Amino acid sequence: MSLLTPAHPRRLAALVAATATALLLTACAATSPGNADADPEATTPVSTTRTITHELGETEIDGDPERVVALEFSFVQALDALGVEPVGIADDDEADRIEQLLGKPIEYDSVGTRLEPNLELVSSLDPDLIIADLTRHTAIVEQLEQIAPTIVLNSWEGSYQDIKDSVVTIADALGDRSEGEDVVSEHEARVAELAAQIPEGEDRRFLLAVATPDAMTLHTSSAFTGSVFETLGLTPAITADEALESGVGIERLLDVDPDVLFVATDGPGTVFETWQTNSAWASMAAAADGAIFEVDRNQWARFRGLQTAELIAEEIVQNVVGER
Amino acid sequence: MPRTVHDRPRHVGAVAVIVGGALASVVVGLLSLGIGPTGISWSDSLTALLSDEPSRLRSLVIDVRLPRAVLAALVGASLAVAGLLAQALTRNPLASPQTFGINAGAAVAIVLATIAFPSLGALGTVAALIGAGTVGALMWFLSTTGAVTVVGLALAGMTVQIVLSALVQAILIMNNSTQDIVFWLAGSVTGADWSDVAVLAPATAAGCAVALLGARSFALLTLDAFTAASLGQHPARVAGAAAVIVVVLAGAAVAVAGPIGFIGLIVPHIARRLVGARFLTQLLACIALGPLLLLAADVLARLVAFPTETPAGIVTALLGAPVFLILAIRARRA
Repeated sequence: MSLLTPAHPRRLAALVAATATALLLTACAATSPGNADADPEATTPVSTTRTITHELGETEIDGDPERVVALEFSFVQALDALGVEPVGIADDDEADRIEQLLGKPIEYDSVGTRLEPNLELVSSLDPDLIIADLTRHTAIVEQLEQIAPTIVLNSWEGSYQDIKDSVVTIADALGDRSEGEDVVSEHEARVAELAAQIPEGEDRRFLLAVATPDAMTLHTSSAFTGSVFETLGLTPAITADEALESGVGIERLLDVDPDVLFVATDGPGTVFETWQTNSAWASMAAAADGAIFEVDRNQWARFRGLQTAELIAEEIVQNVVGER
Repeated sequence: MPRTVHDRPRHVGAVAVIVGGALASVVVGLLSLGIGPTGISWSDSLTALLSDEPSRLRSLVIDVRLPRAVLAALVGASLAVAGLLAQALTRNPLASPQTFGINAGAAVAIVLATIAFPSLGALGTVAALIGAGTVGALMWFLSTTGAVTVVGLALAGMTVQIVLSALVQAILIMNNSTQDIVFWLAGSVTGADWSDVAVLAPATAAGCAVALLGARSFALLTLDAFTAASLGQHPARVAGAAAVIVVVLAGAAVAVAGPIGFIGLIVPHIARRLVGARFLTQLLACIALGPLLLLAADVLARLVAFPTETPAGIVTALLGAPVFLILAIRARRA
């Protein structure tokens, strides 16, 4: 319990400060009524309350949030595209991932892992907006709500469309919905340009598999990468409502039999190495065709942002389609 | 233990159990070749097994399904024999590689080693043996002090196992890879290939061979040290050899298939029930029945949520946990 105490005085202080400001504003308004009438524009941004609709209902947001805590990588990328640096990130305690995610180092405080963000750290940052993930953080949403207004979006199992919608929702929560719409349409234009480079009649079946030391996880048409494939006019090898198929052995992969296979790894020591030595591996269409590519697991399976989608699209155009 | 029921035709009965168990293992193993997501039928898989024309079908059967069945059989035999020896060595019916924390010791060592050196490959087995050996030595020390009761020792072992499992979780959480090796952690032969068989087969063969050759000596471990010595034994040496076999068999099995539980506990009890008190026949029965149980568990694990796989270790835990409770209650009464 002693760990809990430092947060409270600060929250209390914030509350006192907020109340004082409110009283002061009321006092000002009361003493100079003429002023308020003369310049209504000046006071409206302070009192705008927007209702943001998200995965778990609606959240009221007052003013323009500036201290944002992001509990998933894709939210960080969305914030970056909108020109906001989050004060706190659930970065899995690996700061270099954030640098890789944004292509540059930024100043922020880690709030622990995405799977179990540290609520104490979140609260100590005094945020005015928290962006949480539907799959991973639904269980702690009430606690997050007590710290700051929280919006819940689908990142972990989100499709490409979900991620694009998230950018607009986040922009809305930050106070400028149209900026989010601009970011998305600019992004869509770039992706469309890449998609145009893919030749007509490309009918091979594409699959992303994440390799770990004991199995693979297959990403279906409902997963982020699967829906990026579809946006580019490519065919995902698995069409399913479930985004991920986990605990997959070599036989299931051969059963799917993709024509183009991307294997996402964190480096050596995965089943990707051992399976390739298996005689059955060669019977896979992608293996016979030399269309197997090892890719970075962060970029292809963890980040799920607009920039990531562009990067994936570029890699596909350069390495896979370009070679033909 | 039922020492009175098997006086009459026990020899014939024991042979029937051992031969029958071995045959049943082969049958279940062959059946398991017909189960898999590609939907190759059982008859097709048998045909592929016998033909020598290279094909996709044949590769799937020979290099994916067959090594899995062989590995399940080897792991089953290794754990069962390790369990039987551990029970004899400690004169404790609740002893097994899992209940004494030896599996968990191997698991911690492997997790640590693979995080430090991701491309360790088969060398992970060395780490597993070191981990298994360390916990094995600790439990052996506890059992020789004689200060701990039968149930107390099993509780100590379970405590070690729980602490080490928690340690594995802590390491994985710190390394952000809790989701990455769930199958291996639960114990599974899903990813088996011939290289795993190549790692385990020598350990299983050597362990079982030494156990069989020394069966007469190991049998005397069940007696107290004084009696054994008066029968011309070197109790300490025999016990040391038994402990080494337990560690080698359990450590190598965990290295390839993860800490599969309860096989090492239940199979020796089933064997004892079926073939009686003679150590050599118990040992042979363990070698026949261990594979049968794990092969059956692996077939169930594949069918429970077909075509999605379930780790076989979860099936053995579901079967084994109630058995452990029954044995613990019985041991307390005895």
